[in-house]
Amino acid sequence: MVARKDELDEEVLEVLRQQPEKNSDGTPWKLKIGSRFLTKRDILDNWDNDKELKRDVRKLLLGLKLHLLGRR
Amino acid sequence: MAAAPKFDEVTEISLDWCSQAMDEISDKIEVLGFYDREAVKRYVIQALKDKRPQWFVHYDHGSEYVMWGDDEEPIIDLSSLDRLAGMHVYCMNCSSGKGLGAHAVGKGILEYWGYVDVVAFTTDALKEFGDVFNYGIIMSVDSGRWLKDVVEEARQHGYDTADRLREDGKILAASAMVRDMNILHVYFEGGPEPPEPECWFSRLAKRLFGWNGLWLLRMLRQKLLEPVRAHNL
Repeated sequence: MVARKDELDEEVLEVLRQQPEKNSDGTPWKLKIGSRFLTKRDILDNWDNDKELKRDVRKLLLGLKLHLLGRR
Repeated sequence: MAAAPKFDEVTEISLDWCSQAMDEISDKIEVLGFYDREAVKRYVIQALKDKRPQWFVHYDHGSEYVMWGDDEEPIIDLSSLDRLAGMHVYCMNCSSGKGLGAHAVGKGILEYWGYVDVVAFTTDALKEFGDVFNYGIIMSVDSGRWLKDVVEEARQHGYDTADRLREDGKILAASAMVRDMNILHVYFEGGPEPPEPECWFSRLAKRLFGWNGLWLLRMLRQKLLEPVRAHNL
């Protein structure tokens, strides 16, 4: 089953919280989506106010979940 | 011919990927690269006229109807799309697969590899993303097959890479990789029609005047409303 929207939001936030802020080489971890290039802190700080960001990151994780369902 | 600007952190990375891909294929075909400050319309269009390459490659940034250059002005847009007629076009940029891709075959392009929405990647897997973004052109040139004939293999390679990233605990990298593979599309001569436009006016225009009539209307709109690259998309 794919999670409901609020459950998915919580899941996305949990994934974000667990994401290390730095890569193994010490550089900051960043997500590029479209023309945005965001650190973990950028994403978490803007999570509640930036609907577009929230939608985009939610869609990323939902895509992975659907992909995994298809791989079973 | 390849064009890859370098005007921000993202294009620094995508330029690296582009030059790696060009290095890989340079023993099979002659490569003419326009990188960094040379990746601008005046150089690229002149070279397209003079050299008539078989391939045109563009790496980030893109939008629906534009491949952007180093000066943040279009290198290719709707009005210059026909400069790529007779070529195989390979784009790693965002969204141009949706707009330019839909008009590619109508403008005489043999095939157009592109992403129909914004491309995503994460910096904890740059090597893997570069490998996946470059896979199609390297495979196509190496094997002599058209892009349309390697796209499903490339997509599968991306999905397999995403699975490995997930197993390594790189969940967001895996998610971005899956998304990119889901939005990868190749338009080609003799292939299925592009999807119907979402906007009712475009649908009507397409029904009345066909894809080339719709291209003309969109091109005029683009001329009237000069496109500006959105920095926060």
